[in-house]
Amino acid sequence: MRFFKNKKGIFGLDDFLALTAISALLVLIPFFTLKYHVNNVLQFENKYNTADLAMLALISMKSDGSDMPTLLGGHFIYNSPSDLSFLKKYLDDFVPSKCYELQTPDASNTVTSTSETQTQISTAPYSLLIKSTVSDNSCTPDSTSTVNIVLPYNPQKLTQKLELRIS
Amino acid sequence: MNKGIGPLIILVIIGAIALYGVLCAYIFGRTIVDQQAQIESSVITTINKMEYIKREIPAAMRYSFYQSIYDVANRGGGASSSSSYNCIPYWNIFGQDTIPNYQENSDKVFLTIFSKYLSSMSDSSMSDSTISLPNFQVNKGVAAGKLTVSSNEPLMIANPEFYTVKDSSTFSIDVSPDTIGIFDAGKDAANQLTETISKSSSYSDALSEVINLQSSLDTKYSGHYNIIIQPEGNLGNGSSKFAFRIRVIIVDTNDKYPIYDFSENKNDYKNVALSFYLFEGTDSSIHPQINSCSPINY
Repeated sequence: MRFFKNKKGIFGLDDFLALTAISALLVLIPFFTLKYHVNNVLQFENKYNTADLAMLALISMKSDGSDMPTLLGGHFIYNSPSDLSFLKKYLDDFVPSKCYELQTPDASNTVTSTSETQTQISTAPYSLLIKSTVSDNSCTPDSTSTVNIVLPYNPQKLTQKLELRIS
Repeated sequence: MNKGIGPLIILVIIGAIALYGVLCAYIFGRTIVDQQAQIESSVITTINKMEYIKREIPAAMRYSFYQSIYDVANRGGGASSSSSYNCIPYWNIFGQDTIPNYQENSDKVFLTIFSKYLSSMSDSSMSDSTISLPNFQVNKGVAAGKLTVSSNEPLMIANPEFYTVKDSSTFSIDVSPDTIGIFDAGKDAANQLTETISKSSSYSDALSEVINLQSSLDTKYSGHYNIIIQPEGNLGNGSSKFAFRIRVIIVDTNDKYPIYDFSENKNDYKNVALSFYLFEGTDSSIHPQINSCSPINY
């Protein structure tokens, strides 16, 4: 007991308590840092999966006997069907937060001529932009899923990027 | 006063050791759970990618089929591999069958286009895992109107560190039996025409037989195909010593398909039409006009 009574000793009670506190901190700080990081990663992955699942649900739909990739491909190349606003109803069902944006991300680059004879199409002639009706500040889509929708054959462009951003 | 602290300190030490033990167990336990959660999340992402590929493949098959059948029919089943004039092949020259292997040619074009679609599909955000798409074979069920692609190997997405997701590599789509069967209808028309002309004793007889056959073929294929038969002038040395070229066009009237027209360099909706020539008669000293045809660069 002298060991603990001697406050001037190498390993007194105060030292022991300080050591205990430091050890606890050394263990707890990395643990909470790791936990915070993993939580962030999982939250990101979860949102990412949610966006992917909503996108998958969307491209699995059928309308008037046509599957969604065919409808979207027809719209992007021939503007047929010209009106895809019915997708809003599907997205309202698939996205729990009702906060989404479905668009063709490279729609601003329409047709780029690379030479006099060859025309390189960087995007399909017709684009798409469907936004949720929620328009307040709380709706900021922050997770994204992108797929390539197959287009009717064109040697310059076989697919069109379609992006779904959700919150 | 200090005497009473001893047992308390021992208790604190034991408590601290116990707390460390619990914390360590918790940390290791959490790490395993977190790792599992990350792997599961990654597996879900990969399965999403597999599902996405499976939903896009039928659309890619459809577009590949429309384009391949349109181009191959337009070039009479494969002009570049046979005797042809302006990319339209001769299917019969003085009773000799010269029909190109249209089945093999259309399958080859289909797989070329389909492979291009598969490569362009693999670039999506759904997974950073590598997808391996097998080599597909084509099977066309003409009567049933089915187009099937299959492979002995599965569709596979692999993340080398963790897992491999496999799925069936057999896909079928419904296509119009008339469209898929257009070459067989062409073969039937060609056989009937050559047989009829071979029995004719003069150019005028042959022409009237061709006109009769036209109406018989129209009746037979009504509602399926439009048959256009265009006989050209006699190149032979007389009415009984005759030789002439006939252009046959068989138009599938079922539907217009979304295709890329290489002659106009644009996307359009068009009917599939099979074109070929026959060169018939009794004057075999006359040779059909032939020129070269470059293959389409897909």
